[in-house]
Amino acid sequence: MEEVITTKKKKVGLLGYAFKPMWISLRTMIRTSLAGGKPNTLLYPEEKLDLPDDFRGELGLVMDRCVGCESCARVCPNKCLDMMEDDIGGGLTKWMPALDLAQCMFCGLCVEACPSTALHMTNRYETATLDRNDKIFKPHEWALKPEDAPDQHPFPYPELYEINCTGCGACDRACPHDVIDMVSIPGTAKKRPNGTFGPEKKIPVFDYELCVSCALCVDACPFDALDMLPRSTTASDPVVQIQLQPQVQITKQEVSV
Amino acid sequence: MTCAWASRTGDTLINYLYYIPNTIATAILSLLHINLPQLNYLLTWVIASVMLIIVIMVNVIIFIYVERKELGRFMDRRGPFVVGPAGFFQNFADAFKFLIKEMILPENADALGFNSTLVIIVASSLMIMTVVPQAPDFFYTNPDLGLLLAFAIFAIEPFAVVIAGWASNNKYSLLGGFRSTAQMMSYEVPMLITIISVVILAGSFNFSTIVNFQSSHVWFVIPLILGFIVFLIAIVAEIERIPFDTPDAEAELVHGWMTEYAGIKFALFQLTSYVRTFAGAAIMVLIFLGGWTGPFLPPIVWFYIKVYAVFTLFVWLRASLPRVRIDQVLNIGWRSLLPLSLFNIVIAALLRISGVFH
Repeated sequence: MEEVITTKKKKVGLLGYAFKPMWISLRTMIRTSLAGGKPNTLLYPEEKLDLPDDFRGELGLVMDRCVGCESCARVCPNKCLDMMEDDIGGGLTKWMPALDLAQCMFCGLCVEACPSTALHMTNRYETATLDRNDKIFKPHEWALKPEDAPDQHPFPYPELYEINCTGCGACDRACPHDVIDMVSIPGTAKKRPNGTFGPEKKIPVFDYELCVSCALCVDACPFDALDMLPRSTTASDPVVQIQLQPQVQITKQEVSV
Repeated sequence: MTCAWASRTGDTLINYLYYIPNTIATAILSLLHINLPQLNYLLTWVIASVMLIIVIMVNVIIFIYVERKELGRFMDRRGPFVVGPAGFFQNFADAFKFLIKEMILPENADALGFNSTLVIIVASSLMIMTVVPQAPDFFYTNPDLGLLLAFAIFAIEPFAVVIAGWASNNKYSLLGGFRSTAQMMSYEVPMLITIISVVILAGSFNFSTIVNFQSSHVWFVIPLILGFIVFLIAIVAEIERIPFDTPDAEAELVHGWMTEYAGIKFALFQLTSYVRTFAGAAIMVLIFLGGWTGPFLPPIVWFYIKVYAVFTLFVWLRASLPRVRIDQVLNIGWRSLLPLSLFNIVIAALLRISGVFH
């Protein structure tokens, strides 16, 4: 027999209903009104909290680091980021996100998606204005100085798991910057019954100098052969070795079951 | 001519609430070269009433400020602190906000009942303090049955509340009015029985006699501690403050019987609740806490010190206790307080016949 444990409802009684709350509130009053004690309230306009570094306030853009990959604009659930050409000085323009802060819900997805740590959530939280249009910013209007934003992490770059690659070329078609070339591997062509050779297997080869870490190729790959891995900013020497996915072996028994 | 302000205690103190208005009235009439004793009497009466109302209203304003500040400290926050010195003028800002609001008469409401209850409630609440002396040299009237009369005037308000609830043509208002009646019926009885125990010991319904008796013997809170507790609970229910504010329970009924009243009418009702609190605290001080007696300071100062202490007790109860459900209200009133008050009467009678108080 399983022993049934029933928790008896604790009887509160007059002591718990009347005297204990009265004692607690009296203790609070004594603590807050005697000399040296003060209430817990922050007198807001005069006093302000020291905010933590990762406080999710208004968004800020470091224009030097932005690579124009549109990851933020794609991931934004409220569609408050929109890409546009904007001056970066010296007569040059760059493809960067503009922000409608009135639509922003401070979810921080764009900050997570940004491959180049150009986006940051600042400590500014008093964002109220009288006009909704005051909260629409061109890229240079919501720009942060690089020294105000935390350090840049190594860029993630696409890496290939050759075992999954079928050479379909979807990544090549998705890439906006001509990073990927589909290169044939000699000697992989299959011999057909009539003696001719079929097409050779192709794999993508990345020119990391051109890559903007936008991860469009990873999204495009139908066979999970690509993944974004952090590398140093000079793409020629890889920081992380290419990790092969462990091959899944299916035995006969498992199939029969 | 009989004078309503004649001192009944036999001492030769000047009653300032008579002396000052009488001086003013005499001065005005002598300036106008009118020699009519009746007019003098009437004018004195009017000026004294205005003086009393000013005294009550100044106290009510301080009450509201003190309540907001103390409630803040009880809840670990600061009360108002922006408007005026330490936020003292916040009340005036709120009152001004109420003043500029629209006054609305609900559709299908009974206009006569809706508006006349305002007059009845405000007037009856202000009238309580006319029979409650504040010091031997500061009282409006001091009738023989002052204690009974004070509670008779206290009990007028719930009738007006029922009328207000009915006239508002609103289910919440009506429920609030019914609750007020039920609460009054269950709390008047133990409260009056507790008062009887005080009267048994003091031998009089007159406030001055009761206070003088306490000053010559002992504060009634010590022999009648049980009665004091019953009276405290009952008076909080009578003035409908927070543990027993079922008639205007904000969480259940929107604002009870005050739901349909807007603007300055609502402000007057809120003010009236503090007037009643002042009167309740004053009566409690007079019949249990020794009234205006105390060392060194003048009587009126002692009276107000004690009144504000009792008011702080009310605020403490408000800050600590949750609102009692309406069936619990009636249960506490009929099942707990009534037997306790009857037992208290037995204690008072035993003390009286044993010769401890004579």
